[in-house]
Amino acid sequence: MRHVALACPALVVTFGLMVFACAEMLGAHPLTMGPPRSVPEAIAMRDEAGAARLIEEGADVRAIGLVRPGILTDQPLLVTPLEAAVLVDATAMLDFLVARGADVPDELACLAADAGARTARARLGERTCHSGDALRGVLARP
Amino acid sequence: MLSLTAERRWEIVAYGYGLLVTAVLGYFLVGLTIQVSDSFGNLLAVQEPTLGQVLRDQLSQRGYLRPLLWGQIKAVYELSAGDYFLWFRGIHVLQVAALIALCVHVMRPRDRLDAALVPLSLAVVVGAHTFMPLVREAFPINSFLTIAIACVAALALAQRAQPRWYVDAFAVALLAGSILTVESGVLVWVVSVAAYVVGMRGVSRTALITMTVAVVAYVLVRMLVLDVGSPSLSERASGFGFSTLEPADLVRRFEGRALVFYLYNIVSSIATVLFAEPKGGVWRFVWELTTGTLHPWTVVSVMSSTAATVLITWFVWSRRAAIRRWHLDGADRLVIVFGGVLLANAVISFPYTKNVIMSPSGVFLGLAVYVASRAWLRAIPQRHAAITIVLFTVLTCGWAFRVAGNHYNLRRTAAEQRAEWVTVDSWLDRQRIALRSADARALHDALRRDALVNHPTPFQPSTGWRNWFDIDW
Repeated sequence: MRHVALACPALVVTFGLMVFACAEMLGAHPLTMGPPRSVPEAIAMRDEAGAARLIEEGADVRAIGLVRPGILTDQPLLVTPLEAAVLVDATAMLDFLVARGADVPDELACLAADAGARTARARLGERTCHSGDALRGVLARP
Repeated sequence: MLSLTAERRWEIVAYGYGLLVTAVLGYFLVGLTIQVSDSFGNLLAVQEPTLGQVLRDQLSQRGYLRPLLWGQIKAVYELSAGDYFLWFRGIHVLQVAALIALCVHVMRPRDRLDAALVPLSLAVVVGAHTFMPLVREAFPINSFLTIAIACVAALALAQRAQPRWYVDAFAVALLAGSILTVESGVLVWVVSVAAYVVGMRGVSRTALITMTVAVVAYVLVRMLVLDVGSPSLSERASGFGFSTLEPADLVRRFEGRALVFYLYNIVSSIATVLFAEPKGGVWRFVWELTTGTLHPWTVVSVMSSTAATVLITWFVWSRRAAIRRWHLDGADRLVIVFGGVLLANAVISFPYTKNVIMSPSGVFLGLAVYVASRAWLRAIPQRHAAITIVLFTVLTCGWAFRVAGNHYNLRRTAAEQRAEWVTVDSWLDRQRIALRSADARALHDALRRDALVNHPTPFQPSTGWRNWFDIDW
């Protein structure tokens, strides 16, 4: 019994990870968010390579996409790739999207301010914004 | 005969568990890709020149002397024939397999208790913050992992009952190969000498003299012939106090009194192995404690490392009479060798503090915990059961938590490494690297395709795990 107790925590973690790995190899995705379902969702999950792959395979860099609940907020979100990049403060992704033809609307800087995205805000420059309006606009999308 | 069979059975169980740990880690390792930083540039550098030129060029570098590291990169690059992911990621998995197999070999589990302690000891090896950079980075071969393997291999050779000429030859070759791969390869010599001093006789005195001559020759050639020197204050950023100082800040603060900074680095390096604090020279736990921002990860890492240190300290104290008389058994020897490696490892990391440099000591900590735990569980009477339960609960649960966290971190790293490939052209501009040849452009395209298309980002952990494991590494 003493021996089992000694080995137990490490064994539980190792066997747990093994089950996790086997499940993934069989196509399941326990404990993870699974594959990103849109460009904005890939960006929100910080899978920037996944977002780039979807774009290079033909996804629209301007299209609004669904971000599932639990990834950015408890609610599902409808955002553009640029908005997702601002919400996670991913400036390299911002540059990538702009280089791929995404248009930067004025409200994006306001969204960066509302979301507290410091580096994105520095990149997008200062705008005159009503505090919270841009974020509320994104959250209120049907 | 019967007891031999039983011993063998527990050994096989231990190796089986080691294989499982390797398989799980290997699965997460192949989720990583060849990095842009530290790897793409290195591969570009070895593309054009021949192997001989690569080796020769390394003899004229300032601060570092690592010809075999570059030789290995060049050799694997050529052998891969364009299948870079398979070769470089495959080598990383094989390296981890070798390290874990050697650790189990050195532990020599003989009975049920020994076998029960193997998961804890491997958790200390794999869960340490000093182990993490061995697996999350590669250049694209992780040279520090090579050194950790070589150090444990040197110990395994020393543990043999009697010296043999081929063991001696292998030990000398191991030292030569390690020291020419990365500077901390000198630890192979430290392990061999420490093992001999404590009475391990697997490597002969003649071989040790040869190794010592080789180290002296290396130092003299490095200093007097090649004029390589050691990294200066302005070489790279390093942790100090509660932040990481850039080279310019280091020069401003320690110019003319570099010894203070070097002493800080040595003390920090010892403390990071024993207490998981500071990490990379930064006193993160103290900072979080004083600002009321304690992260579960920091608390668990400090507590579990401290518990391991308490256990080893108790072991040394309980064996002080035998150690004073130099009547050492196998466990004493292993703990003393750990102490020697820790000290030497800290001294050679004097120019700057990095968790990865202390990785050999982190591995030896796992081995020391193994023998100290065994001694505790055999020696401590039942009336101290409460202490045993508290100590081993912190140890086993804490280190298991750290193993889980390191795997989480590998999964996050898989996404971060691939993100670098999205904007690789900006990186090339910042580094002022121009892809002039068709081969260079083909390498760029092949590695980017591997990272983005052929081996896409593995699924990212659910957000619920962030609160436990997501820290700024």
